[in-house]
Amino acid sequence: MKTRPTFFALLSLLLFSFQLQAQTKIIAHKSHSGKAGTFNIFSAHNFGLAPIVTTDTVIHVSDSIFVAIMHEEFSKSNWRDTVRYTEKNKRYYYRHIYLGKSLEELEEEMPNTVFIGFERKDEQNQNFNPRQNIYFYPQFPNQNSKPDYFHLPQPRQNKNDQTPVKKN
Amino acid sequence: MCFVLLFIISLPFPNTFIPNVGSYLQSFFEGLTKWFGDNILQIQQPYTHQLISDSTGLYIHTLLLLLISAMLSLMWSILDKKQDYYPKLQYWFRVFISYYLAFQLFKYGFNKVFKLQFYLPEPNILYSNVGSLGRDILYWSVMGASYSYTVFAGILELIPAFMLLFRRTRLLGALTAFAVLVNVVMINVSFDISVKILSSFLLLLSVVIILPNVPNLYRFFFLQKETIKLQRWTPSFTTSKKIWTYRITKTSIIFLLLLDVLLPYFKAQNFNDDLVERPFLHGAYEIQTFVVNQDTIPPLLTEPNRWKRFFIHREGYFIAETMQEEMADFPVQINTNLEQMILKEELSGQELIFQYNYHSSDSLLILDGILQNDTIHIEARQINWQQLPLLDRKTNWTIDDYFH
Repeated sequence: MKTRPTFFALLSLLLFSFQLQAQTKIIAHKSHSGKAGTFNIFSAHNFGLAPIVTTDTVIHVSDSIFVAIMHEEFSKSNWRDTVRYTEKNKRYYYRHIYLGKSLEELEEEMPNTVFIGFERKDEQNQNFNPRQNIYFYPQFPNQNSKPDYFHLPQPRQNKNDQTPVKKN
Repeated sequence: MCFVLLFIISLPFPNTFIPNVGSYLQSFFEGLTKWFGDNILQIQQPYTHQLISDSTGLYIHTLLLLLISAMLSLMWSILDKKQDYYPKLQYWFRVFISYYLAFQLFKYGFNKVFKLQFYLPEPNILYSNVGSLGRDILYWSVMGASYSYTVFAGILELIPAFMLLFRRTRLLGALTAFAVLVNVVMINVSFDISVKILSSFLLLLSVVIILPNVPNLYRFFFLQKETIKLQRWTPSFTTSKKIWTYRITKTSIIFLLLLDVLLPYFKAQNFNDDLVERPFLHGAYEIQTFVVNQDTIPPLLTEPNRWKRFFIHREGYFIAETMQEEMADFPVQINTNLEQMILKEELSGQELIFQYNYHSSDSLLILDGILQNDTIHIEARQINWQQLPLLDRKTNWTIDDYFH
């Protein structure tokens, strides 16, 4: 085996993505005297770490692809009337946590997020196809892409899925 | 090795620009965790299966990864008869976890140095009874009250982080990280802070880095004998091209890791969160007049509906303190154009709109609103919460100074 520091370096960078989201969410909740009844694990407040990432909108592109529009706040030093967004970005998810959930469930979990193209529970039961929920694929950044920009993968061909796939 | 790698790649978090591989595996592992919890462990009561810090799901996930890793390791040892590449693999694995641990220590270290992790306690916490607070928020607030100790704690994490990046100082860095992380784990357990699994995992990484050197450490510290040079593979770069490729790659990685950690602070120009300007009307207010339907409610402990104080939290919360010193929090939006303060009751969704009038000359805030057909008029004066004894940064070197 040849020594390839560059390869290992790139592999290391790729794997350096983990951190836990809820590092101090409970403490952040307690900091405004929040009670157990109003604690929401999906809330954006994570007082201990910067930046704070909030999901504004999630668009159901097809049965396997979701686009989440998020904003990151690095500072709240200048807000008065509204929160100042210093950066806006999109993230593409392929078979993510949103998969298979009804609009009611998502709205309950993430009350401040707008969901577009998701089905309500009764609609979802009518259109339910058990084959759609079987596969999960990891998706890695395209080598030619810039950091933070991902190429959308082609979803597995599904006869029932007529939604055109949006390419990046 | 399998467990460490699986643990690292299976949990997501958006970094500043380093790709978030975990987000693509999150749904798979959360599904697996839920299935394992429901069907194998047969957990009956509701639980958080999402892979977030110290959720039941994360404990199940950790157990699951241990089982998967044990199986993978067994299969690997049975199937793979050629073991000549093991020393190289061990070396690069050690390098990888050293960099990973350094990255985490940079994140937490700078977060402390710039005073974001242990932020200045909010006024509603400062006016809460100590006994009514949980151990976690109390520990957070005590740390947040001391700028110098928080910065010191951050530096203690940054020193091993830097040492872990270089071969000569890696062992000393891992030993220092071990000492720091034992303390962090004990704080998290003793003060019930919900980062127990992650901090234990980081402690495990420091142990893994130290482990091959334990015989030498024993010889040196207990037998007072010379250490024996470990027979392990290290890369050797013979040509100048290879040497320079290695140096440039290593420097670039260290630069990228530091940039990922530090960029948010530079973007926000925030290097001391204590000094960051707080939002408009932020602070503590002592209520002087509380009128409901033109009846002035006296400040008596027997009045269940009168407020004693209220607080405006920097994250957009209005916290009312009753006469019985109980706190109730409401998300609040402040519209300075209409001079309105909109409070929302989170569970019922009910809104209370106050028309406010703030007199900056005498720090008087007047609120007028209607709640369930009752008119409410409140006059409150801002309290100088920064002058509370807890936030006094003076260090008394003699006992005489305490009372002067």
